[in-house]
Amino acid sequence: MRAEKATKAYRLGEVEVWALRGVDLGVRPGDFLALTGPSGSGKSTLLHLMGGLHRPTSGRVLLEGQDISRFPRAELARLRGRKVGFVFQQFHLLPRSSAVANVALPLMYAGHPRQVRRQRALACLERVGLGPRADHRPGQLSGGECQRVAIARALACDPPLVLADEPTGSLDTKTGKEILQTFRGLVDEGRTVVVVTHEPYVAAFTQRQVRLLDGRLEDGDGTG
Amino acid sequence: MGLAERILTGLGALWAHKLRTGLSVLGVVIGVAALVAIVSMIQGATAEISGQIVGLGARTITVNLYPTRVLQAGQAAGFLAEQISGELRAAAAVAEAVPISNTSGEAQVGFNQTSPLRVIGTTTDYARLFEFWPAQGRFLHPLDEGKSVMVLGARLATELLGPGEHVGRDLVVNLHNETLVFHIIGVMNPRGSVGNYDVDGQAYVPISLLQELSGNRYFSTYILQATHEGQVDEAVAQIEAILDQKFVDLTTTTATVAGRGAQQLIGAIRATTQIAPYTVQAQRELILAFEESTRTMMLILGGIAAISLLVGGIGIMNIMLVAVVERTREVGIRMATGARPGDILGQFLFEAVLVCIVGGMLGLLLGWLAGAIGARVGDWPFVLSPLPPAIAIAFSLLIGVAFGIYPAFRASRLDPVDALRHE
Ligand SMILES: Nc1ncnc2c1ncn2[C@@H]1O[C@H](COP(=O)(O)OP(=O)(O)O)[C@@H](O)[C@H]1O
Ligand SMILES: [Mg+2]
Repeated sequence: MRAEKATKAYRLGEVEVWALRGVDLGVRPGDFLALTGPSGSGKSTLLHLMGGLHRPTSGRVLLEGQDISRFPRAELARLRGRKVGFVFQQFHLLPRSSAVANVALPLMYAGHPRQVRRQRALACLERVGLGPRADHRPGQLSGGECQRVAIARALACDPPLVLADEPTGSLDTKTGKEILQTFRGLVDEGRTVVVVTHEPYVAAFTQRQVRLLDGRLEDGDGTG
Repeated sequence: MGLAERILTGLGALWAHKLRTGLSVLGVVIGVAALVAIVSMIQGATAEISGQIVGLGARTITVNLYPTRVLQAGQAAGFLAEQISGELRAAAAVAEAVPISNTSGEAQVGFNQTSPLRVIGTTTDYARLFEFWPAQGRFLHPLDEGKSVMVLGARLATELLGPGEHVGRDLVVNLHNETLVFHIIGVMNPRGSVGNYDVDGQAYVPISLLQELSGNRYFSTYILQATHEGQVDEAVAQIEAILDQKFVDLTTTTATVAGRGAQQLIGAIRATTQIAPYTVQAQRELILAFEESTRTMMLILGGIAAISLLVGGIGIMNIMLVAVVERTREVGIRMATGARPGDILGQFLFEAVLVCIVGGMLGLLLGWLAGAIGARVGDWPFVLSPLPPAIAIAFSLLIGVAFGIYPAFRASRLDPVDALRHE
């Protein structure tokens, strides 16, 4: 994953807000990277660019050598479904669907048949230790369990890249550490994991930290 | 995603908001039910009425003669029923011409006991025209003209005289203030009513006798049949030519209007008196006029029903727009996990279509029920041709797509990050 001179501007009526002002960042396969910085510094925005949730206003974003910065919406969606797994602070699970149905969602959009989906979704839930809770709805699960369902969902399509936006932000420290352990497991498997955080204990857990300030990398160059 | 799964997913989403779904469905139900009921009722009523109009078939032409409107009694003598029917039948495009004159009388069925009786004066050709045949004895014959003989319709015979052999018996009938003894020469087979002719419930006597009794030998109705349906216009033209010529001949022999052509004379008579000496009415015209008015009615009422369906569609759009806003986060979650804009569009569109199909089915059922009740109340046959329900369902499907597409499109254009942030 590489970002080259990536910028992102949001338009709020007449005003343009520059969330990113030119970021160069390289992430190698197998990296475990913490993206830190104060609130509003552009961490989430950068994460969204990396995973194809947004397109940069200028500059390029390369994923596995492909420039995705000008991909059409449908192509970006495909890419999000197959190459990237997202984990969010608020979990973002479908409240009326069971854990296993939530995990199966990316598999559905990737076009897998129904039986395969259920099998794989169950395997992913086992993997995060939630096999017995497969048929529970998010409302019946604790925060930590919800976040593990979200991680299972992120893993469903076996993506090389996992992007987490403050995944421990809604959890107590103990549960947060468990979640981080899970992420480390993913890295050990050879996946790339990027975690946005402003909690020092989370950053300390990773191999590499990059700090954003006002839409720029603090040390200027993150190509590493 | 397979169809079954789409349906399940869609139903799940609709089930989660029962009240909202119920209201959207209701709009469609009312529209479709109204459409189906209206079409069914109009078709039923139409079948009933056009059954009466058609009767003898589209080849039929009815001619009424009123010779004394324009002629003196002496001149009108040229309009004897048998003679006219002969001349009309001679026209190339006319296959049958039967004079009919009807009146009512009373049959004496017991001591001081009478029963009302509908008496038709006609000729032997009547039986052939109506395709009904004697069960006992025979129908009228040219040699019966002027004689007081009578043929009874099947139901009439049983009602008046009970079952059994009636040929040869006499029946006393009060007609035109006279009491006559009729000799029964035949009883017909049951035929069922033909159009609005209740042929089984009438008595038949020679037309000449009836006209003599009524003192009006000149007023007559003729039922004609063109050689075939395509010849009706031709037949009407020929009949008019024959009758015009007849009036002209009879008028000009004693014409007092000098210097005018015969045709102009007829025209003048018609124009000044406002009463034609005859009318020619092709059954087909009646049928066409009736069908035309039915079609108009169908269009108007169907249009109103269609508008209510349209309103139902707008209701769906309104409710769906709300649903899209409410489910923005869901859209964001789906997009973040790989749903393409087309997947989101399809999902919402499918839900709208599902609402319309369910509403369409229920509406069909309700409309069918209303149509059946209407048929019972209005006493016409219950008719529901497969086309209107098919159209109603297709139309509600169309409504679903037409009004679902905009909200669905809005959902599909949402920005995934904004959608996820939505409260
Ligand atoms: N959708 C948006 N519309 C307008 N401004 C936005 C939007 N998303 C983020 N921003 C702005 O961009 C800046 C960076 O936001 P963000 O990437 O969420 O920061 P962080 O995640 O580091 O808190 C902030 O000033 C924020 O207000
Ligand atoms: Mg953020």
